[in-house]
Amino acid sequence: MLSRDLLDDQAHLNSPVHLLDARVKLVCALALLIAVLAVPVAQNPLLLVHAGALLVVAGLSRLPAAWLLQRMAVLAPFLLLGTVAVAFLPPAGPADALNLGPLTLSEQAFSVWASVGGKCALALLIAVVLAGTSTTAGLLRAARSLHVPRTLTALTGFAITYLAVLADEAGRMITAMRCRGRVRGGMRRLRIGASMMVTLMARTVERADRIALAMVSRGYRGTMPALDQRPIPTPQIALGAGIVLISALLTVVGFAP
Amino acid sequence: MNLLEIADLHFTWPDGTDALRGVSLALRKGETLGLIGRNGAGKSTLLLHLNGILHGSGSVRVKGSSVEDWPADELRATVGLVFEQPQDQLFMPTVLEDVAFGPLNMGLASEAARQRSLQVLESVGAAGLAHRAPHHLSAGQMRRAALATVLAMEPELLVLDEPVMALDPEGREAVMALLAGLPQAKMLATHDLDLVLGLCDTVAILDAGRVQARGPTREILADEPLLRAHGLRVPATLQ
Repeated sequence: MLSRDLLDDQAHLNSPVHLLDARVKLVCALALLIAVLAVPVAQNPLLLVHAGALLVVAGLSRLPAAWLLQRMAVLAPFLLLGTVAVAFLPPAGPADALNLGPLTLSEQAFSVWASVGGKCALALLIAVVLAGTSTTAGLLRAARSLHVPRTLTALTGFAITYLAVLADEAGRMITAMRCRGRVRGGMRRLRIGASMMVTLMARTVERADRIALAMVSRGYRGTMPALDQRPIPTPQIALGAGIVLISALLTVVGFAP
Repeated sequence: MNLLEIADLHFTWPDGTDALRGVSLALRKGETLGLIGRNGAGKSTLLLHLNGILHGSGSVRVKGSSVEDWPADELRATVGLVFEQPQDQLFMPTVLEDVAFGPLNMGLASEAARQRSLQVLESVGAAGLAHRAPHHLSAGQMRRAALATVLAMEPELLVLDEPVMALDPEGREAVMALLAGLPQAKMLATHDLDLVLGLCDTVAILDAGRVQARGPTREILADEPLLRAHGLRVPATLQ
């Protein structure tokens, strides 16, 4: 068993969102993503409606708040950098000036930044909730049944599976290195790190060869076979259709004059 | 008629290493043969010839027909190969999908492949693993799952490379009991001579790319000079 459980660490929860079929979740996530990204800059307040709805879904999913925040934190440097840049951008004229206490900002720049930052945060929240409430295998199966090319889903599956195996292998190599004393000197450490990477890559290629042999041994002929999936329960289809419809409606509202 | 007949098989790797230098062996239906020998003796290379992955010069016949005359799919369903590293054998997102991989490639309909896979998982005591990700399994669970991936193809000959390597005593015993209960003819390549003693009817010693000795398990494994000459030792239970 791998020492690192990199994925599916919240898939065991038993929330209404977890219980939804991965296909329904994937389609809804795509619809919500399109609706969020389609909000024009002039309609920024609509992003708050999306944010509210997504926070309700996140609440229903029972994902721990700390777990969610930890994953959302990846966006923090980007948001901080953008905010600092906007704060130092002078207004184009008096009509463009936006007074926020002691700060005078460019209203246009602020609106664009609020739109970009808000959309990035919401898109990430959608992805995090989707990943947190589904298993990797379920999402790959859902992608396959939505006609994402099988080669792509197979490669993604391999990458996910063997990334964890490689991470473990790299961990063992680092432990072995540490067991033989502390490496002194930046250049020496760099050289050893590089040679470890080469070794890891060579082992990866050898492993890929062995996996290919195992696949051929079980009749692989260039196409990844897949089991048919169980039909989606009708209430879930109705729920998914409702969410897609509301997303489409919000998209249209965003573009209304 | 023998299930498997190998005659004067030679194979050289692209780097010039002569891995097999005239291997001849036969295996009857229902027989379990232990293939033993030191590291680099050619055991794994020989196994890869049995379902047509490698092709050397000489002859490998399964059920009387040369492996080159067999349709690849049928040959791979008849000769099931379980690899040394279960992590290399388990590459699909879930154990169930992995076990169904072979049956689906054989042309089974999805539902039939699902049912067969679930039955096989049950038979190897791994029914509860069907929806688990293979890389989250313990070493013993991985061994069972890897065996199930091959058993789902209903092979007549089961070829296993180091089937109990890296297992704890309990896991080793469980896998041994599982293998002992399988009706198929089996060929086991291993260094574990206690395993061979417990499971195999006959033993062949492979060294320097040739079969150096072949005979009943107890007779061969009790012959200390013979074993020592080929880098092996008498198993603890016979000492």
